[in-house]
Amino acid sequence: MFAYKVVLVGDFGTGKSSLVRRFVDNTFSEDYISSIGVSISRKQLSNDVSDTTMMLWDIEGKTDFKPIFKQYLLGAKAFIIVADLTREKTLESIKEHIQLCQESVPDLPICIALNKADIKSVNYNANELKKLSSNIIKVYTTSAKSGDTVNEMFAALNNVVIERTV
Amino acid sequence: MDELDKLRNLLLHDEQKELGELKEKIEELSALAEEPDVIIKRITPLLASIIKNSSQKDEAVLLDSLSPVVFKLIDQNFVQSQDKITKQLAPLITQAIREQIKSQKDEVVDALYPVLGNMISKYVSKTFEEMLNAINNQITNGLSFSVISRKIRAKIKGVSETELLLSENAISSIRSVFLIHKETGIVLSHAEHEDNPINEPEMIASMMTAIRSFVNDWVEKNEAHHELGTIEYGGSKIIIEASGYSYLAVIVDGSVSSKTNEKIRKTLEKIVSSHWDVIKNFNGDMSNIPSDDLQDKLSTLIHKENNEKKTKKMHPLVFIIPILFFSWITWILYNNYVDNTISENANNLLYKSNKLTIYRLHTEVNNTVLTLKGEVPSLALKKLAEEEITDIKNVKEIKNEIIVIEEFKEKKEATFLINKIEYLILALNINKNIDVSYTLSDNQILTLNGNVWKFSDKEYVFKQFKNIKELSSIKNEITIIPPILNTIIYFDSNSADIMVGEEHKLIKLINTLSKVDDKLTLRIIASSDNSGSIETNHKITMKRSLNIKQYLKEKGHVLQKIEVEEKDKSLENKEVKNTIKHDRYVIFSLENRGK
Repeated sequence: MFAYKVVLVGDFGTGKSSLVRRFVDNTFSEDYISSIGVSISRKQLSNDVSDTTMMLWDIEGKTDFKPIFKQYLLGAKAFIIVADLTREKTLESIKEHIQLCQESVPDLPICIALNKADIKSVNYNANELKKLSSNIIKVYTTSAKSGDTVNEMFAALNNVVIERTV
Repeated sequence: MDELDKLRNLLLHDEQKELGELKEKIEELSALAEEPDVIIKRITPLLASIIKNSSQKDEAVLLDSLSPVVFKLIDQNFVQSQDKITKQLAPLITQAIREQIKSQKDEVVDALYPVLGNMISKYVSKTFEEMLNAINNQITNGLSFSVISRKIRAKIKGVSETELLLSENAISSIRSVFLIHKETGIVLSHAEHEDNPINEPEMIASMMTAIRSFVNDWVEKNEAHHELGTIEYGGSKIIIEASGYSYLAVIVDGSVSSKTNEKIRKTLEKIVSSHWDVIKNFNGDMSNIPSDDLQDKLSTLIHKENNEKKTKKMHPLVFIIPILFFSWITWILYNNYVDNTISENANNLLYKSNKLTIYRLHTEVNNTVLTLKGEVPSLALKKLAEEEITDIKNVKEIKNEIIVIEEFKEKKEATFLINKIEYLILALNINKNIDVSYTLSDNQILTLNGNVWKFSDKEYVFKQFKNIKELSSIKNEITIIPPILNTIIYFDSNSADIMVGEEHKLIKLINTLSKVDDKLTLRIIASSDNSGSIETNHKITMKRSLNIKQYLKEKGHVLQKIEVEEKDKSLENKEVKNTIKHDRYVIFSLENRGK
């Protein structure tokens, strides 16, 4: 039995809460509700090795006026950095988020979720994003709305975490 | 066409044409009048002006005619869309109340007072009722160790028992305990009271960790390093007790005593001291966590706390039986003591009585009933024995079972005398300074042998035997031998002072000297170690002897002549040497120089 903490990091409105909701409850809402502070969810997973309780820390998105509260990143076992494919600026922030995560807890597995894949996207280069850090497992294009690759991403992340811990 | 028609056409041509057009228009209009869409389209723009106009002209009439409809409409709407209206009104109500309080505070207070007052008094009285019940419970269970201990504590602390009772009954209980990994917020273990199960402990732990991190971070920015200690909500509290890598979050209902805090701290201490490394190295793998042990430790906290609250109803017999048992034992011991004392007193009195000393009389005492036993030659002696012991206190009854043997007198006459002498010898020899023996010839001539310390002792012994009438004469062959003094006084190296530890020996010596003849001479023989020169040693030995002499004369008022000399080592007695610890000492001897 494993229990660990995963933190979702990203700019405001990139769909962190929606990804969590899709993953945990398998639901989606078009309404945008800005997260304040932190919202915590729990998901039971299992793979060949072990049963896992994943505690998902969906923290308040970064805005120009408010940086990410670093304390919430401490003690995590993995990070998911979320960007919005319809807003180029959120893709540009990925680098900064990676840096913040690595400062808080070095050498942790990081997943990059390029969200809102169901809407027409801006241009991006997944390979270049992958090169930003050696800790990045994979760059996923996700859609919390349709549910595309959401479960896949979390499952892959869980496998990596378990593999590294055992 | 006839002429008339022609004429009519000529004269009324225009009119007929107009008539035809009019007719067409009327038909068109009447057709339109049956089309509601058209009418609505036409009238709609005018409606506002119509209402405005009529309200300006005659407002009362318009209100009269419209109001029943409007009210009906509102009623219907209210029933159908109650939820919607509630939602719409809710924020307004709060705002309205706030506004009202701002402007008309007193009125709001007055309006709410009957409701709130009742509510509060109901709550307070219920809480008091619970507390009173608890107190009553404690009072009813009056015969318990806790009550006795409370009474003692009240006396020691100098507070009233009621105060202690109140503090004991301040309703508090630990509802659940979480041991949380500090950084990850993962629950390492948790325990909860059966009556208050907690849903999703993991969520609570993570949220607590988030709150803790937030508060701690915020506080650290503003002030020195402090930790979040307590979160209060309603009548409950979450107490947070943190160590380096983990913390305990304890949910407590009611007031938290310092005892509870202490217990929480102790529990965390125990956990940290036994599992510090496991917690520190926690990597998410729950199988590394000693969950059973942690669970046990946390559960004791909950059960301990709750057990304390429950006053165990114990049957009074549980206390009464041991108390009765102890009382019985004490009574028996006391009775034994009393019986023994009586028996001892009685035996003493019987031995002390001159006439009875020689008979083997003894007493038995059972429950303060004294039984005299033994054999005497006459009834008078039997009675005498009884009379001797009548004054002894606490005796309920005396049973005289002494047997009178008539032939005793004649037959044991001789034994009687020997017994008497034996008894006297025995009594005299008790004194340290007297050690005598005797021989008795057939013609009743007593010869006293042995020795005493001084002349007056010899006289004294002789005098004692003179009282025995059965003796024809007494030969006093007792010799006077002063006692051998075994006293050895030690000194510190290079010191002539009498050490405190040695003083009691001198006092004993003084005591012995008071019992010997004043004419004797006391020799003080001093010895020294070989560490210094002969001269120094001589000086110090003399000083030691003189100090002893001074002590004996001044403090002991010793009357004997005292002579001081230095020890001649060549003459040292081996036996004495064996008993001597070291060479710095003084010994004593008594001599009869006057002889």
